[in-house]
Amino acid sequence: MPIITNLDVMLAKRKMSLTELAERVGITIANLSILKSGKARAIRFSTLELICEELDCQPGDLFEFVKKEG
Amino acid sequence: MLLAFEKLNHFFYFFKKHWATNFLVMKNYRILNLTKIILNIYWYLQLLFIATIIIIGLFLLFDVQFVDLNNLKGFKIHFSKIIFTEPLVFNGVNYDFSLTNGEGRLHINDLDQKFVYLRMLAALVDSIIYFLIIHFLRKIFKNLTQNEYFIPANGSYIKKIAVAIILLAFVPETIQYLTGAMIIDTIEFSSVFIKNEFNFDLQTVILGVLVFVIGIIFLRGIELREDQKYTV
Repeated sequence: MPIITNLDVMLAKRKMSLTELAERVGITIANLSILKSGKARAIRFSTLELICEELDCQPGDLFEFVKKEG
Repeated sequence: MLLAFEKLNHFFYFFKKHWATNFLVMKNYRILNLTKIILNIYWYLQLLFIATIIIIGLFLLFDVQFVDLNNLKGFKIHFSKIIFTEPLVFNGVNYDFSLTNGEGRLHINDLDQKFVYLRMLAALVDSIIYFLIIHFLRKIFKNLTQNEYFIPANGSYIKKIAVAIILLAFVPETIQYLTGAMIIDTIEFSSVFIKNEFNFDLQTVILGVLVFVIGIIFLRGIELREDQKYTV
């Protein structure tokens, strides 16, 4: 997948654990793990809004587009 | 009175939620298991049939004497008209008569019928395609009895069954047609007009296409479910 999730980087910057974020945002840890591990196929705007609000960041800070080689 | 009503209500709630659901699941499971058993029996019978065709083919090849294979040496024809030279006597009156637009099996005694192998091949191909359909159905039912309904493998089997059904409409009939063409070109019939038709079953083709579409929809459904599962 050419879209890379930088959720772990943002969590480290904010010194916040995944469990804590899950509790604050109101999403299960399983779902956040899917997002963190890059297995997610889609993200709802509502979820994105909540995560950005809690981590005080922009959507662009959470995701990165990397071009496929070849 | 109110307590009794509450208890009754609770009983119905419990029945609706647990017992009725379990009963339906059990019923479905029994139907699935029964179908699986029938398919298994059919699978073995089909295997036996394929083995029989191969054995008969070998008997023909080695021209064995202990089995009368003359009946097999006939081949299917479609005739447009057969005019009989002898008149038909009906109520003491002679009538000229003929047969039109029919299908039959033509037997020619003491003819070296090499084409019989082609006929055997058509029967073999036919049986193998049926066998494959049953084989994939068995696999689907095996998954269903293991409670695996919406998995990509099932979709893939449905698509394979569809291809087999479409092949069933074309391949054996093509071989039969070619066999007929070989014979009708080489033998002359007096007062018999034979046409060698290629008549594939359109209904089977439509059924095959329908099953293929169902397979595609099934796979797309699984994909959508996966999308839903991995949407956060």
